[in-house]
Amino acid sequence: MRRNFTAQTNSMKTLVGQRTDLVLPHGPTKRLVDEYYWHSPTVGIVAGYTPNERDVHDHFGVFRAVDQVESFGQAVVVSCSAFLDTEKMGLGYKEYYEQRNFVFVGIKSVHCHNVIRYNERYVCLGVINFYKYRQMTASGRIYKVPTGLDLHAYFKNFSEDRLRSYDLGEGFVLATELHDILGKGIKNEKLNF
Amino acid sequence: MTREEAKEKIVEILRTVHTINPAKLVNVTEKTDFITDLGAPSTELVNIVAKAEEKFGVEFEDDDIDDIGSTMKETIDLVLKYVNKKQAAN
Repeated sequence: MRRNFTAQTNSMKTLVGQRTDLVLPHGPTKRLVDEYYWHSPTVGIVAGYTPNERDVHDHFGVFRAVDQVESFGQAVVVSCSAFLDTEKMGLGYKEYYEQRNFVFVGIKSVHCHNVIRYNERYVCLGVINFYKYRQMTASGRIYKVPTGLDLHAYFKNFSEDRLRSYDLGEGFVLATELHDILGKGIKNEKLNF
Repeated sequence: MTREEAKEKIVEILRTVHTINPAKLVNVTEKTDFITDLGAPSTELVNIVAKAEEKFGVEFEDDDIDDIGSTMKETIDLVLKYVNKKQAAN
């Protein structure tokens, strides 16, 4: 059972166990991360999502590559940046998003290997390449997950070395490689919110 | 440090930015815009500012970088704000 996170502030050591709907500013139809499995604040993260019917609607039951990029951006750049910045500013996520938000700035390259279909669980493994002045660049991979695997247990003792070498066991299927996803935190007034 | 001295050091930084053609650095003024005049991608601005931190031996606050533009004048203003603060503290 989940705890009541209503008054949650960012006083936890990592994002693992935190609710993605509180960490991320995106509304429910655009939020493409639903669980954090492993996180090292200055190194990277492992986060997961399962595409629902709406996510694959009008697209052959397949989760679009562009949505995978968005999902990765939310999982890595937004989540990790929000964690670091709220920690630095001493704010909870709600207060933080009243002042600031994130923009997707760019990506160097994406290489798709396999499709992700409706109801297929996947994980984003993201490594932070650069973070300064609220701008983050990250690279990584998306893997489809073996059916029935307990991901919290699987990633409980994951490590920086395993993240960087994408050291996963049998059954994980590489879906996508992403290089240099760039996002930036900016003041809300610059977004005309 | 004068504005001209700061400008020269920033030009030295710009010479190390591979996305900027060194030929464009001959007549840099305070009005020069790194993006529109020198052709740097906007994503390069953070790298330029990070290099300025190192070169001038200061550490900028995130909030000051939020509002910085892409001109030489704004970069000089930023640098001198911190350099002067550092000198006053010493």
